[in-house]
This record gives sequence, structure tokens and C-alpha cells, in this order.
Amino acid sequence: MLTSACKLVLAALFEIAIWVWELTASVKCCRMVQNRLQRCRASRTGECFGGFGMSDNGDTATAERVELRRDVTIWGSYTWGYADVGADIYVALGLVIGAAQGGAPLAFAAAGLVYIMIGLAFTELASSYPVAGGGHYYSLRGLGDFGGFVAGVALLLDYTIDIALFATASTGYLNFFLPYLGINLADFAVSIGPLQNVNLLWLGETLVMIIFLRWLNVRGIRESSLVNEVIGLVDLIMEMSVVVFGFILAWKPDLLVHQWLHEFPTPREFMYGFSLAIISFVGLESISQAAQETRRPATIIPRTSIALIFTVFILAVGFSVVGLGILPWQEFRAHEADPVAYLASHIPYLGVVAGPFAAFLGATILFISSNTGVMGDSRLIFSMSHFRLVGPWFHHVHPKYHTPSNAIIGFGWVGMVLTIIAFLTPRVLDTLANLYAFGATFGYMLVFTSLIRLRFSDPYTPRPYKVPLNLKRRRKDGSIVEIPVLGFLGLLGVSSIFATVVITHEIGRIAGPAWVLLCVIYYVIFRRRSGLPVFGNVPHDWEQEQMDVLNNAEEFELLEHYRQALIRRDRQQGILSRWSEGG
Amino acid sequence: MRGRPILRPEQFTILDLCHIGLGGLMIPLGVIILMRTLAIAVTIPGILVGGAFVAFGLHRVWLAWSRYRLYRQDRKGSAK
Repeated sequence: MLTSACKLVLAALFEIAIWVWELTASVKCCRMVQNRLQRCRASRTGECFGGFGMSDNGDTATAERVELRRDVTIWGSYTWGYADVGADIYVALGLVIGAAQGGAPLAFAAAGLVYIMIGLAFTELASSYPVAGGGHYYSLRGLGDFGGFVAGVALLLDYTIDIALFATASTGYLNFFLPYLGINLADFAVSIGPLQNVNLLWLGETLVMIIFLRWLNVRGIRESSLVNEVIGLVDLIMEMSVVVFGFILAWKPDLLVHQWLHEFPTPREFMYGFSLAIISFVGLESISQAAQETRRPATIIPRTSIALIFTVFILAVGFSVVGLGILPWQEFRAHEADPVAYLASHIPYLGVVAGPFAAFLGATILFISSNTGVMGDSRLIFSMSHFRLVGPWFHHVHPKYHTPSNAIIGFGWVGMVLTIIAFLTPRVLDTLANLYAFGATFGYMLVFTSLIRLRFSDPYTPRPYKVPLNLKRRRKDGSIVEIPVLGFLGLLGVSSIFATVVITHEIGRIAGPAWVLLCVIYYVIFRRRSGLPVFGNVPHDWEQEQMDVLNNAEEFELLEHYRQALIRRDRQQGILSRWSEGG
Repeated sequence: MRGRPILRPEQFTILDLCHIGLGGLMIPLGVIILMRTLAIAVTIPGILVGGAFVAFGLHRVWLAWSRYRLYRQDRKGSAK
């Protein structure tokens, strides 16, 4: 008993040491962010969060826009995205191979094809509307207030699950080190009545991590672009090394072929794996979230985004192929908490170092991804509050730290509750991934719909990048609209994954719609009480907003294109344009 | 406005070297994967990953060659 207690204390000390290291790195490298916050405090415009400043009393009426400084470069934009999307494979690899068995590479490839279309849609939207807000903002522009709200709650679900899932996965990778300390994680599993194998140590670690993240975010400390760049780069090198050295030193094509031919899953198992595979590509929104801080976004975003899409796609498929050529799929299922580290540790010569290094890097990058969830939740809810889609309670700003503390603490609690519920189920990561896939596919469906709708409703905004395959059509007023065929194909693809999620995910199909329904009920009550139209729209001056966005992004050429297009439109309609010199 | 022209290089950097090295590594690796899997059976994963590695490597090498040509053009232009 005493030995177990000592081991537990040792494990706790070890993990605290790692967190302290991560925190130290964050604090050292976030001076830039802190300086920015101090400047905002000094100017009494509130904090620089999500592009919106708040007065100290949190009054929504006095909310004013504060622009984030554009200091993210082309490399920064790429690694920012990679630090987020690249982390997904650490979670997805074990889950997808466990579900799709010998057919896992096909599941990754099929989901990856849909993801490429999603990525191209995000590239067009993020380079055309370079503001922090992502899918919620595009849906608001394309589908109106209610559409923006529904997309927002789908993304809120995703970010909240993101907190729980990645914190759980991060501690899962930390637990890779427990055997080195002589601790067996399974010893801490208890069974209470119908609840079997509830691992109290892992649950405790995850809850402590979420509390820690909440504390960090309420105090306004977050990792800077530099930390993202460094960790993104190291992770990219590590993942490529595992794939390349795995192929060179350990890969057995006969094992891959055997599993492909003789251990192919049943259609239902394959569908389940296919729908889970989409979670290995979630996080591309981070590029659109970072769009408001990117220099020359119209030029940079298409380059970084497309490079990122194909890197992640090749790595995801590469990991599954190399994995099934080194280990049988059953071993991935048995190690779904730390599959990449387990795989890396099986590479001859390098495995002794690569395994622990991959585990450490996995824990770090997943910790950062979990933090992205906390930040994403609070940015998103802040933006939704700004557009009067949710109440002013979410606008409350901490009097000392100038951060949206209500949103951070509130969604932190939701994340903790979800974590506890997930730990009571037989497979914690699988349960969380179920919900994650629901939120992601639902949100992406609305993004595709917005992409198509915006081509018709807002053809004047310059699009530095357009998704390929467009059909030109002349409208009655003489203007030409390009119909995005790939947008329709993408909508079809993501709808098929969504349908698969609803059919095969027992938890996702109940909890996901329940979340959306509860939020819609809240929306109806809030809008009625505030005297706002429930399914109608609050008036927005999108043209002025777009002008401001392009001006702040220093995209002057695009700004002039946009102005001229609006003037031409007004001339055709026979009205004096407010954008012309004498307008 | 729609085209995405290749960034004009101002000098040869370590990043260029990494790109060329990575491209050079991907092509033989892809060929080996294709050969080893096809020797056993024709499977989608083998073709997909081997083909993707080769395509990715070729793209990288083509990009490096295009950038080098632009670099030479700029040097010639500035010399005149």
C-alpha cells in the first residue's frame, strides 16, 4: 500500500514537473501577448480577445472593436495550423485502426478526401473574410443570425469536447511514462456497480489539467505564436521521422497486405472507423481563427492552408499504412491512449528514444490543443455575444485580468462534466471522439452551405482563392455567379460522414442533437426577451465591415477591387453609390 | 488574382535545401513502398501511399527547380 502511494506521489511529481516546464516555456514566450494586453489595458478599450474589446464593466453596449496585431508570418500561419491539426493523429490513430482494422488506411484516405474539400472551402472563406470567428462568422454572413448561431453552437460543442478529449489524450501520453516509474495504470481502475474499469488516476490527472488550463486562460496567459511555431516544427519533424524511419527500418509489407486481405472490417465497422477518421483532420479552423492576426492574409492563407491540407493528409494515411505494416491492428486498440508513442517505440534502433520522445511531444502538443479548445470557446462565445446571438453574461470581463472569465470558467465546467461522464463509459476516448465527430461534421455542413450561399449573396467580395471546379452562370441583373461544384461535392461528402456518425455513433447521435436543441431553446428565449427577431436578422453593415477588414489587413488592391465592384453594382441598379467619390 | 504564383526567391536558404532534400528522399521511398507492396499483392494502401510519396517528392523537386529558374532570371535582370 505504502509503495503504491509512493509511486503515485512520484508520478504526480513527474507530471507536475512537465506542466511546470510547459508553463515556463509559455510564460517566457508570451511576453509579446502580455505586452499587447497591457497596451489594451492602458488604452482602456478592454482586452484583445477575439478581436473585440470590452469596457471593464462588461457592458455590451460599450463594446468596441480592437484589432489584433497582424504579426503572424507565412511560416507562423503554417505551424499554427499544424500545431492544432497535427495533434489529431495522436488521438485518432488508435481509435481509427481499432475500429477500421485492416481497412484503416482506406478509412483515413476516404475521410481525407472529404477533408481536402473542407480545407479548400476554408481556404476560400478565410482568405476572403480574414477575421477571427471561423465557421460561425461565415455562416452568419451566408445564412443569417440563426444559421450563424447554429454553426456557433456546433463549434462550441467541438471546442468543449476539444478541451476534454485532448486533455484526456495528453494525460494518456504522460501515462506512457508510468511503467518507467514502476506504476501500473490498470491498478487504479475501479468498478462500481454497472460502471466498469473507471480509472481514477487518469480521471484525476485530466481534471487537474483542465483546471490548470482554466486558471491559465483566466489570467490571460497563453502560448504565443513563437511557441506554436517551435512545437509545430518539432512535431512535424517527429511525425515525418516516425513515418520515414518506420518505412525504412521496420515496415513489413506482408503484414500490411495480410491485414488488408484477411482482417478487413465489416461494413458497419468500416463506416464507424471512417466517421472517426474525420477527427484526425479537425482543427483547420485555427488558420481562419489566426486570419485576423496574419500579415497579408489574402496572399498567405491560400499557400499555408493548401500546404497544411496535403501535409496532414499524407501523414495521416502514411501513419496508418506504416502502423499496420509494423504492428497488428489489435495492438493499436490495446494502446489507444498512446498509439503514436507505442508505434515509435517499435522502430528498431530508434525506438528506445523515439517512443518516450513521441510520448512527451504528444503530451505537450495535445496540452496545447486542449488549450486551443479553451481559447476557441471563449473567442467564439465572445464573438457570438458581440453579434447578439447570446446574452451579455458571456461578455463579462475579469476586472483584473481583462479576460472573458465567465466564458472560460463556464465552458471549463462543461468540459469537466463531459470528461467525468466519458470516464464512466467503457472507452473514454471513443466516447469523446463520438461527440467530436458529430460537432465537426455538423459545423462543416453549415460551412459548405455558407460557401455556396455566399457565392450568390456576396459575389462582390474579392476571392483571392476559389475552390476549383466552378460553373459560370449569368444572372438576370447581368452579373456573373460562379457555382462551386466542389462545394456541392464537399457538402455531399461531409453530409455522408454526418449520416454515418448519426447511424453508427450511439452516444453522438443522442448527445449531439440534444446539445444543439438545448442551445436553440436558449436562443429563442434570449432573442424573445431581448426583443430581437428569433429567425430574422439584426441589421449588419457587412459592406462597411468588409471594407474595414480589408483595410486593416492592408489588402489595398483587394479593397479597391471590392469598392469598384460595389460601385458597378450600384450603377447597374441606377442608384448613387455610397462608395464612389461623391457618394 | 486567382493564380498562386511561386514566391520569387531572394536567396538560397536552408529551407530550400530542406525542401529539396525532403523531395529527394520522398521519391525513392515512394518507389520502394510501391515495389515492395506490389511484389506481394496489389493493394490500395500500397499504391496510395507509394504514389503519394512519389507525387509529393516530384512536386517538391519541381517547385525547387521553378524557384531556381526564377532566381536565375532575377539575377540576370539585376546584372543587366
